[in-house]
Amino acid sequence: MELFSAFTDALVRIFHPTILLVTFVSTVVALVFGILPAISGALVCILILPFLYGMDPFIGMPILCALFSVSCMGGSITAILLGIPGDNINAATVIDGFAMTRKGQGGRALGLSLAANILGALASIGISFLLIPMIVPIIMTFKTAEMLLIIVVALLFISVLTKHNRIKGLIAAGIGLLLSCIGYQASTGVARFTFGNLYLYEGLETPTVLMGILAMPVLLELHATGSTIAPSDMTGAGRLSELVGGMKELLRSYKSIWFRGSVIGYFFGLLPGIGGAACVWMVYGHAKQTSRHPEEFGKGAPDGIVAPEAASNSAHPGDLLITLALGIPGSGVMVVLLAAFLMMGVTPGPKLLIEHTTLCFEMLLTVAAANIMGAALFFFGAPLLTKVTRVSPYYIFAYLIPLIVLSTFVSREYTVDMIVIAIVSLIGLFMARFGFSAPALILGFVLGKMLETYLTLSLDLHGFTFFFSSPASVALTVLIPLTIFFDHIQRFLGRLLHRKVELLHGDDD
Amino acid sequence: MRIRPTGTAYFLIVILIFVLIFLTVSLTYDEMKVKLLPALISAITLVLTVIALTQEFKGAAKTGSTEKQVEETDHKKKEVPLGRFLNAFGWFFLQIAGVYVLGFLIAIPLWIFIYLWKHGHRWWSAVLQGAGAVLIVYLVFAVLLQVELYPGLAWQFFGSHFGS
Repeated sequence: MELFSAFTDALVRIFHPTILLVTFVSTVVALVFGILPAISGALVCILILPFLYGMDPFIGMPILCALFSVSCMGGSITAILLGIPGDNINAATVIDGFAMTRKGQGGRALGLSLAANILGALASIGISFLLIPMIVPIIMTFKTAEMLLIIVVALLFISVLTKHNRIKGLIAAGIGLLLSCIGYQASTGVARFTFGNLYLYEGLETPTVLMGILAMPVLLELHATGSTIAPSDMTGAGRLSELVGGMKELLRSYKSIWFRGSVIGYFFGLLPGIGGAACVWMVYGHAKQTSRHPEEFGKGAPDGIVAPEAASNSAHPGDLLITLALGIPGSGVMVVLLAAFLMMGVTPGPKLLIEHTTLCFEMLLTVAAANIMGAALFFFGAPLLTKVTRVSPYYIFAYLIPLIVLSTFVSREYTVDMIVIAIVSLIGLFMARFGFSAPALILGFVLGKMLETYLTLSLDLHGFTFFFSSPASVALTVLIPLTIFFDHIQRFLGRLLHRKVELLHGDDD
Repeated sequence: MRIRPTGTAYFLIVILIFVLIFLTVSLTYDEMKVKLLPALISAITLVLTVIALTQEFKGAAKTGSTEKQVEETDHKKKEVPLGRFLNAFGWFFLQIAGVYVLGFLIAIPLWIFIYLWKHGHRWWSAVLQGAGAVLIVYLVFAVLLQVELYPGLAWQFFGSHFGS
């Protein structure tokens, strides 16, 4: 009953004109900045921090919630239309979203993305409301060994991402992991692979690696081929009807993958430290592994958009909830939010859920409201935005190259980052040319630091028996060979089923 | 029969060298915690690279020429000569070099002007677009986001010599 009254109080609060206005303005800002590459939700939240000192949390929180939850929606627009992820969390959408755009189906891809995004966010907020009373004990089940095994499973999904040549996929992942080792080692502070260079002490920046490996090969190809992103003869592409068609298509044909993407995304959002950037690749791998047409992935498969987009927006409420419940930030953006909470006099932890339930509900409801507002802006703005795909490639190259160089610099204002992106772009170009998986490298790079932290901790705590330290870790250990041999198991079961059907037919005869 | 290595084989050799460097350097660290992951990963990647390289050469030996056994993924990219990609990369590198020397506020409009002009745009249209772009960059990044845009080596040099 108390929970219900807290919920209604929060509902009344978010419909207050001031809160609505603040949420709307923050949503517009988040959407606009989300479109800019390398300007992530976290960065926008950082920039707003100085203005939050002493602000009433009931006004400050909606600003932050709208900023961090809607920026990924803006990022999917550039990921789909230009092949440039607006944020790390949109990186997986590039693969099939941009491929669809190149086939002249940008509007359809945006429709699928929009529906997956908004439905994913709303569903996960619903789950959050239900989970609030029991969240802490659930999360406590996942300790270091389980987290390590989850990361290993996620990395093994890589082999699925490059089915035509798994070895190349694993090599790419290995390179990603090795690149993540550059810089100081977290638990000892020892500098590795820096060769005496102070710049490398902090390691390579994720946005720089993302842009170099994913975005730059696309841009270089645009210049090299001299053709527009989408076929220029498809004049009808990108209409509002196409967008609506894409949204309807999700409800008609991709409900199952949307649901699985949302649940997995939400689950990974709950796990401290994993973050949305890694989870979208895991969901992408899962979608490909379970698809009836895995060969379509990379060439414009709708499930390749639906799954990561559902996961990206579902991860946010889970991420927020766990930060509120445990006071442990689940991702980079949550570190910023945690700082903002403390600045406004709110201390996250189990007590917050009990003592400030209304504030927690208000935050979740603001995420929902901001997503609805963001979706409306996205919906009406998309037809105009799809026109970009038929613009001369030289225009796109002329404007995006300076923007990428600038965004790389903006991340930490180091000029050396610009040299790094040039080198990484060259690697990305050759990887794309010789069939090495770019997503595999990115996933390895994103998960590398976490893998190392959990590996050393697990070995310290359990030795090599960490595989069997709890029922959850045993289940995950069993999942490892299942992931590796999923194809073979699927084929074996298929053959078995086929034989049984044949036998049954034989009996009938 | 003489086997000509493919681009993939050359790239794998580069990876092999890269991984070997990582493995050698990681083994020089004293603490187990520091060397465990890089040594483990580089050893695994080394083995995988050797396997991939062997497959590449075996395939080449079967077909006689490695050029015939190009992968499906390579196929599309092969249609566009590598030179064109390198030309595009040259433009990208020119922008980076320009920013280093002249700073963002000069290099961006100048680069946009040269690039568009070279690609068939009228000179006044290229100038206007360059100016518009730098105005937006200045307003968004310098004014709104309060980012200190890099002024460039030339500006720093002249600033220190003629500034005071």
